[in-house]
Amino acid sequence: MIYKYLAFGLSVSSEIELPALMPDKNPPGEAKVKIRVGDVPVSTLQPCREAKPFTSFNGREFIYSISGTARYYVKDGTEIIIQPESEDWSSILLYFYSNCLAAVLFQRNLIPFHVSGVFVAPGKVLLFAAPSRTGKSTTAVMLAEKGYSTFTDDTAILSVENGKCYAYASYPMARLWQNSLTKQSLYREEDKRAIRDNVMLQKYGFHFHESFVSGPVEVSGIVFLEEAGADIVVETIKASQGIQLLGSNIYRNHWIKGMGKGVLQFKTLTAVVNCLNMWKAVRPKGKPTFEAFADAIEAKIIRETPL
Amino acid sequence: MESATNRNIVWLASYPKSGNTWFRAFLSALLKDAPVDINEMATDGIFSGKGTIETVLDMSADYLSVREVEIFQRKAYTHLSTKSSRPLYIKIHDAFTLSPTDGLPLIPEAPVKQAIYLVRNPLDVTLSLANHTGMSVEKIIKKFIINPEGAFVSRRNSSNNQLHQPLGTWSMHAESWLTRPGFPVHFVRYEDMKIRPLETFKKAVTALGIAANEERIARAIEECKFENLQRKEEEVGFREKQVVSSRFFFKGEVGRWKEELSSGQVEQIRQGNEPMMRHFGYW
Repeated sequence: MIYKYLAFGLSVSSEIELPALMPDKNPPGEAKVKIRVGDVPVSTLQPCREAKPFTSFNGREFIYSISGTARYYVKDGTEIIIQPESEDWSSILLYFYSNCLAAVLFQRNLIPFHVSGVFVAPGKVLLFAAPSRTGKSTTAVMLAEKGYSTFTDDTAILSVENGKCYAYASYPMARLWQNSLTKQSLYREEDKRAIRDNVMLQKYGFHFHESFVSGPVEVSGIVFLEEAGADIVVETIKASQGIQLLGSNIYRNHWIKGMGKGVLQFKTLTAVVNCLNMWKAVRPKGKPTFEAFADAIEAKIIRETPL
Repeated sequence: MESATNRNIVWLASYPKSGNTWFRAFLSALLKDAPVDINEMATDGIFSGKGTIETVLDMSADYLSVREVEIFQRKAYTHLSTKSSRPLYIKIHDAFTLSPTDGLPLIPEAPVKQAIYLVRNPLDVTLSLANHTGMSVEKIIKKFIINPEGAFVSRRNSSNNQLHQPLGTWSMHAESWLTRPGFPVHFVRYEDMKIRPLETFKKAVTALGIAANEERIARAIEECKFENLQRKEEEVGFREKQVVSSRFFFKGEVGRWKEELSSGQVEQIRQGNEPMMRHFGYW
C-alpha cells in the first residue's frame, strides 16, 4: 500500500504509514517526495562535505545513521530511503521527521525555520521563533486558548512572493511537556501520544489534523522569543537585528555550509526580513509567566498592529 | 569504546559556586589578552548543556533515555575534540561518576587532555549556593552539601536546557575528581585565587601549558577581580544567573561562614564532608 501525505506543502508518497503527516486525499499527480524502505548506501555517492558521528552529507545527498534504530538516505529532495535496524518504529519515525524532512527541504532550496505559529486573522498567521525549550509551543498553546488557532508547532518554511511572506506549516503534530499540559485545555490528557514507545518521556505528541492548513498562509509578523531579565517586555525590532535573529532560528542551521546553501540563506533572510513586522518578546527565565506572556503578545502585537 | 585522535578537551571542573566562572573569566581574559565580556567568554560551554549532543548528533536531547545520553555525550565530545584544532575549555559541575550500565566514566575520558578542579570551603559554598538558587541555607545543606544523591536537574528528561548533573556530597564530589580520572587534574583552591592570586593563577596557567608571561597573567587577574566582574554584571547583566532577583557575583568573600552560619549548620556540614575538608585544608 502507498500512503499519500502533505508535509511543508509538499506532496509525499510513502510505503510506510506516517501518522504525524497530513493525509493528501486528492493528490494531483506524482508525489514530489517518495519514501520507501530499502538499503541505504554505506556512504554518499558523491564526495561528502560534512561528516559527523551520525550524519554525512553534501548538497544532493544526506545520510543519517543511528545504530540499532535505522539508517536514512535522502537524495535530490525527491527520495528518502529508510533502512530499519529495529522494530521500534516510533524511534525510527522520530529521526525521520526531525532530519529527513529537513534534508529534503534544503535539497529543494527551501529553508525550514524553527517557529511555532497561530492564526491571528483568517488566512494570516503570527510566527514565534526561538531555539528549543524557549517556549514556542507553550506560547502558541496559550494563544490558542485565547482563540488563535494553531498553525504549526515547531517548524515551517517561509517564502516571499510579490512582496508578501508566506509560510507552509510542517505537519499537524504538536509536542508538549507534561508540565505545560496542566496549564491548558486545548489538548486533552487522553489524546496524548508517546513520542517513543520504549523510552519514558515527559514530552508527548498531539495531533491537530482537523484544523491543519497545508497550503501557503500569509505571515503577518514574526516574534522572537527570549528568556531573560525580570519582566515581560514586548518591543519592535529593526531589520538588522531581525536578520540576525531569523538566521539563528533556521532549523538545522549548522547544515547550511555543508549543503552549500549560503547564498540561499542570505537571499531568503533578506527577502523575509524586508517584508515582515518583527518583534522581540522577553519573559523571565524559569518563571511561570506564560499566561501573562500570551496576554502581552495579544495586547501589544495582535491587537495593536494592523495584521 | 571511544577513541580520539586529538585530546583537546580541558574540563574546568568544580562543585557549584567554587570559582568556576571566575576562573573561566580569567582564562577568557588571558586567552584574548583583552577585557572580558562575561556573557561571551572565550571558553566552550558546559558539559551538561543539551546543545552539544543536539548540534553534533543532529537530534533533540529531549527525547533520549538516560542510557542514550551516556553514550551520546561520549560520542559528541569525542567528535568535538577530534575536529578541534585548539584546546576546548569546558565547564563541568558533574561529579566524576561511573555508568551503572557499562561501568565506564560518565564524563568522557578518551578526548580529554586534562582538568582544572576548583575547590572552595563548603562552608562558604553553602552560603553562595543559597544566594545563587534562592533556597534557604538549611535546604542547601540537606539537598546538596551533605546529600549523597545531591544533583542538579532531574535524571528523567525535562524541559531544562541542561541534562542531569550528579554532584553527591561536597566531599564525594571533590574525592571523585581526586581519585578517579585517568587524565591529569590540577587542583586550585578558591581561597588561594583570592589570597595569593598571581602565584595561584600562574601555577594553573603553567599546568594548562599556556604560554603567557607574568605581566599578561597579572593583567588577566586584574581584569577579573571580583569587583570588576560584579560591576560588569550590574552594567550588562549575566546570562548564567539562575535567580532573577539576586546577583551572580554576590560577595565572593572567604570565611563569610564564620559570621553567617550557625554552629549547628557548621557542624552538619563538617560531619558530612570531613575527608575532603581535611584533605584541602578546610578542617
